[in-house]
Amino acid sequence: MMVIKAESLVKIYHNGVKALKGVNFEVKEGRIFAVLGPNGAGKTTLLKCMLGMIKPTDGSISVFGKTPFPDGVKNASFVPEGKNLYEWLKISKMVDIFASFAPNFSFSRFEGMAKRFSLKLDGKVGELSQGNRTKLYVSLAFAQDVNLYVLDEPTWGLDPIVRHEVLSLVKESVLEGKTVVYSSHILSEVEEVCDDLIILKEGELLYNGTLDDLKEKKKTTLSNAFLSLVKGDSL
Amino acid sequence: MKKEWKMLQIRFIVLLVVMISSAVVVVLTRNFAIGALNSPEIQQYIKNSSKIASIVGKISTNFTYYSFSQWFGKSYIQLVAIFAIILSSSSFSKEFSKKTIYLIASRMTRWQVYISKNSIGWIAFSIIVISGGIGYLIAAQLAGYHLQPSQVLSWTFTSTIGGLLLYQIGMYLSLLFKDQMKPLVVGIAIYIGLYITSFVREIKFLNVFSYMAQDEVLFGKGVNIFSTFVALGIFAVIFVCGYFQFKFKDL
Repeated sequence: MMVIKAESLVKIYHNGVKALKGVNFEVKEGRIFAVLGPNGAGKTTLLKCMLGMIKPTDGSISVFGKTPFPDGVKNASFVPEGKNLYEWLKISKMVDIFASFAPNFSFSRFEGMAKRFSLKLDGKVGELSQGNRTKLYVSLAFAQDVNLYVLDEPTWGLDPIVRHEVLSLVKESVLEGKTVVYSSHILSEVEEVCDDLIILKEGELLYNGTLDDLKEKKKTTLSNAFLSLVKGDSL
Repeated sequence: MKKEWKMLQIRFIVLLVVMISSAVVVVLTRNFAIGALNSPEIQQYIKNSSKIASIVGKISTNFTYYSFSQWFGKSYIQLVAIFAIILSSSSFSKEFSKKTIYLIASRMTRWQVYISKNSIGWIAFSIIVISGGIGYLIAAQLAGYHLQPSQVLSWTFTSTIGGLLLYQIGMYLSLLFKDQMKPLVVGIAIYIGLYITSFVREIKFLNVFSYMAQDEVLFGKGVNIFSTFVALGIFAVIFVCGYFQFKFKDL
């Protein structure tokens, strides 16, 4: 089953920046789909389009068969690049408040995540280190029992042990039938978890296919294949 | 709703305390104010103006007039306007500037986000405004002054409606900007502009402050119903425009 389908997706911002220039791709159910690209490639714009946070200028995108803009996708959980939470709240209060509006939130799932990531729930959100903030955000997002997880740099600031736990969590989610969209600059991580991927550069699609196909065609690792494509080499 | 209340909680409590304290202070300082007005220096200054002398005389002898000139027609509506911009201006802009909008936007519909922010704000703001009117009445009764409850309720009602209109302007401005200072500055500029309209006959009707502090109520007439419907109509238009602004906004 198709979870996300984008056809000729274009996004031009009010300041004239063309962030996406006619992107086509499909995300299948139960797969880990990576969105890769150098800075300014349009990755975050694409994730925002998937979640209905911005309106495509042209083309279309559907998630679970519906247009996500403007009301979002209730059956999805998002970890943005910034990991911004309410700084002035106590962590336990932040969890309560998140639970009050996040669909399908489970406290028992959250407790499981927090334990797994060794996340302490004392103190205020504003006192958390970057790594602990990422742990909290990922725990909140995965405490939602939804069918699609959209993760933008979900291991930002994490130590290798917790990073490994997050990647394991992503793989386990797929085994439960969930779909994951994963964006990261750490290509070794992406190579470890992803099934399918797209590579963007300046809003244009350089590659759309499986990880295995890419590695097979380029006869090298994902990192080298990525660098080669971004530099302008053909497949 | 829970989140919105938590975001407003501290400001609500502080503004509620300031509003009630101000009302009580105006009642309790009446004798001091009258003493000051009747001092030889002031009397010497106003003796050549029969109009000012008449006003000072009414403030000194008529508690209802004192209440209007010092609270319901002055400090009260000034506080209502200031509190409207304080409560509303950062409502959306703070979520944009701190990027916490990404936490809520995909998990709630735009309507849910918009209505929860607005409705909690309306309730909190209305409680503060009403407490200023009712608090003044109670303080006056406890201090032994006679004040018609119907007049107090009329001014409280018009100040609440006018204040909600100012609040809604602030909410709309907070949707337009991604930092917290601009809505505050632009909001204050608009409020000053609305006040200045009272000096130009052709656009005097735009002065929401004269609606809030209706002198017809002082003279025993009721609330101006037409003006009330006009204020509510403009409030509704700004609310609907704000919703569509938010609904189609790139976050």
